[in-house]
Amino acid sequence: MRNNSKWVLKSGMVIVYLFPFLYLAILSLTSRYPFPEIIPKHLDFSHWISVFTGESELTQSLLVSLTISLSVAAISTGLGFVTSRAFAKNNSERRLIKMTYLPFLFPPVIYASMLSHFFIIAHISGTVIGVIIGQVLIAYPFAILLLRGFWSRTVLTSEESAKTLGASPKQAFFHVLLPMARGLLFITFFQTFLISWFEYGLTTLLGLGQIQTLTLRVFGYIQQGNPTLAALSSLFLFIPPVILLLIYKPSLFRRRF
Amino acid sequence: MTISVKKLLSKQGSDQTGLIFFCLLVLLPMILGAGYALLYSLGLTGLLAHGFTFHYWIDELTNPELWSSLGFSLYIAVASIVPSVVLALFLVQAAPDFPRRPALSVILYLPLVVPAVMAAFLIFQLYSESGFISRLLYHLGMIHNLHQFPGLVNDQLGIGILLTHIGMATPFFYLLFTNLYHQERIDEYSALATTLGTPPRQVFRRVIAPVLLRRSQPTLLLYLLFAFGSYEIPLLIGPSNPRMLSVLAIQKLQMFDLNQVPVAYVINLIYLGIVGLALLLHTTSPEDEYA
Repeated sequence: MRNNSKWVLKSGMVIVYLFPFLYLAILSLTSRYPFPEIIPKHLDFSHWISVFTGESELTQSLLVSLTISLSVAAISTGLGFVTSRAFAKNNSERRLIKMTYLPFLFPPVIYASMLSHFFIIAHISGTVIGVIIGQVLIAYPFAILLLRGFWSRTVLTSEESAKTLGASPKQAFFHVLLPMARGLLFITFFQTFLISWFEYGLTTLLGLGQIQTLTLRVFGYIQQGNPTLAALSSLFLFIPPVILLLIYKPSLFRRRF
Repeated sequence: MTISVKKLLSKQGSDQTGLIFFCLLVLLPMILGAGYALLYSLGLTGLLAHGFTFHYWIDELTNPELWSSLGFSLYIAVASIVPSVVLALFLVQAAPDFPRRPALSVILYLPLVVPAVMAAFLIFQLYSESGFISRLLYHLGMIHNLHQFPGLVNDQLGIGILLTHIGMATPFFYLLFTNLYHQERIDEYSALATTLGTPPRQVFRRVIAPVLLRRSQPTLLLYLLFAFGSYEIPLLIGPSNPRMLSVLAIQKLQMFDLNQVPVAYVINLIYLGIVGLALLLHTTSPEDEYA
């Protein structure tokens, strides 16, 4: 009896969480989907083909999104590593960590609305650089919080030992610290990549609608009432994080929580 | 500013550089942003600045739109998190080992990498008048046209927003709770309680639920704040009245009427005050979450 109910529970979870993605895939293959059809009568692959042949505006958005997200993740992870090390060696570490939570007091869109004036003055509003800097303001503190757990007494002692044994700071960094931190650095890169990849509100405000990332495209297609292209761009938005998730799933949740 | 690699990697160099970046990218933007919003809301800066005034604050604090928006945001936050947590707790009790099975765990992780825009779009496609559920009910003979299906998106009660948040939060809390369940060895405590004669329902109410809720308190608060300040989901599938606080603030900021800009900053600062107060009142240090 108990096995039966567990089977029902398991099947329920699979249906609830897999069906929407399947439905999205079906939607992306329809040009006409009138009520009350459940399975569309005509499948249309033309939108998918246009993305892969580079004719669709989605291809360009995909490239813009990848450029922004990879840059944000690389900058945030790199700076987060350096800053979390500085925190670990600082006497006021607890106070600094509390201050790191400050940017999370706001939703990113509200934070962006308060900073947009300064981006306009700096002439970086409506540019890719502006959007990258804006997203780093959110992703960088998150990277610090994730990476601060790395700097244990063992790690700091290992670094000091390497230097005592004659390693230069550069050698200690590349041959001792970096190999030890590799796993956590990847997780931080993944998390900050996701923050940037999913970002909508801040990108809209600081990009002035001119920087069309995939998220903005999805939103635009929904507002235009074009479910086919909205579904297609949603799938493109979803695929890279899933690939990263499959690679690093085992350690992702355990590390974070 | 040129920073040599050697200097960056030296002990003092990297410490100072790390702190300089922290000041430039975390503290300075916060101070500038909050300061600018405050000055704007007091009429001291901006295109329509005519000198110090509480006019915008008084107008907005006596505006029923703000209070209905605030109430709606609080309702959405609480009504999304409570069912998600309850559902996740029951799932943990029923199946604490599911997330450890590779095939099933992948499915549970999927909602964690779904962007809010996509989740809202999915809910719209499933629960709108012409959505999948409506089509299914039509074929089952339960409705005869699409208008008979109750509008579950863009509705006054925010059902669509709630469905989206619950759909995203339940697997998140389920995974969090199962991790804590094994970390805290709750199965051993439960077995001990059962051996001592405690009925299963009491074990759940007095052992499993309290331990999990206490250990996940900081995450619960952060998720509550996340739902309170959510923007994309209510913008897409929320009602036009009342609007959630972040949607209200941004819409006022983007209006052609420049008089609404200081009002938008007033709302931003009220939001900041509420969230700051909530975190201040929360006695547990948020640092524990990532320990």
